[in-house]
Amino acid sequence: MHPMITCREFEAFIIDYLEGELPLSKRLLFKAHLAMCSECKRYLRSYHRARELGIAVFEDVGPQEPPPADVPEDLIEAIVQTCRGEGPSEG
Amino acid sequence: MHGPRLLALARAYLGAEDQAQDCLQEAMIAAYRRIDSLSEPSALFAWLRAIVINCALMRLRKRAQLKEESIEALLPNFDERDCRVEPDLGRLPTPELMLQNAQSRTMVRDAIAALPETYRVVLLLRDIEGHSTREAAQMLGIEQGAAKVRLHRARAALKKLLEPMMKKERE
Repeated sequence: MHPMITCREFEAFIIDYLEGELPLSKRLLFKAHLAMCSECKRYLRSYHRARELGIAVFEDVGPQEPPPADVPEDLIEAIVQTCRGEGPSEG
Repeated sequence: MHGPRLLALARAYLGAEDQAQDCLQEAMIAAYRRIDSLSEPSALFAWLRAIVINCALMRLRKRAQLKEESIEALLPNFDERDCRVEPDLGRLPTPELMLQNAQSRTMVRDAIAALPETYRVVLLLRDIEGHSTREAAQMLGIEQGAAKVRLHRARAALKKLLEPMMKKERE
């Protein structure tokens, strides 16, 4: 294996690296490339930030956002009441 | 209020608003029928969330096939020497700062919705729901290697779709 890898090869290693599945020899090449390549450093930084934004937006309750129409709130409320031990209303 | 969050979740998986609403309705009926299986009432939202996702995945499976759409245009760019061509976005603000206004949150949700379906679903299961790649692959009935490739491409595409927003929001 070549001592250095190209950015395209680095790209192919990213997911295995992040999943903790990149073999040691390739991991060293990955880190060496990352240490020297500012483009890949920038790329990984915004790759992570985009992922964080995706996660954050789904964690966000967004109380200031009006609830959309047609949400079956009555059904959800019935489930919530049942969970609180209030029991669903029969009928 | 759990409804809007659950609807947003169904919408994220299914794309179409009418399908998301039907899915949520179906999920709530399923939840109501098996309310006895909820052992810990404090975990209600997580329980409902899992039911909504199951219903969404069932709907996706019922479609003849997940829509195969090209993601090539959203993948990273390299020059003729296989060197990356990457815009300089400078210092990026924290996600909390970037998501302070409703418009930014809508932009991120829209970017996820714009991902081709086969890729979007893996990203949702892995990054948003926190399943392992192996679990996501099992849920979708695909090989783990294929799930990894789709996950990486989905993340790379999401990054590209969010670049204009990140550029605008940089410090």
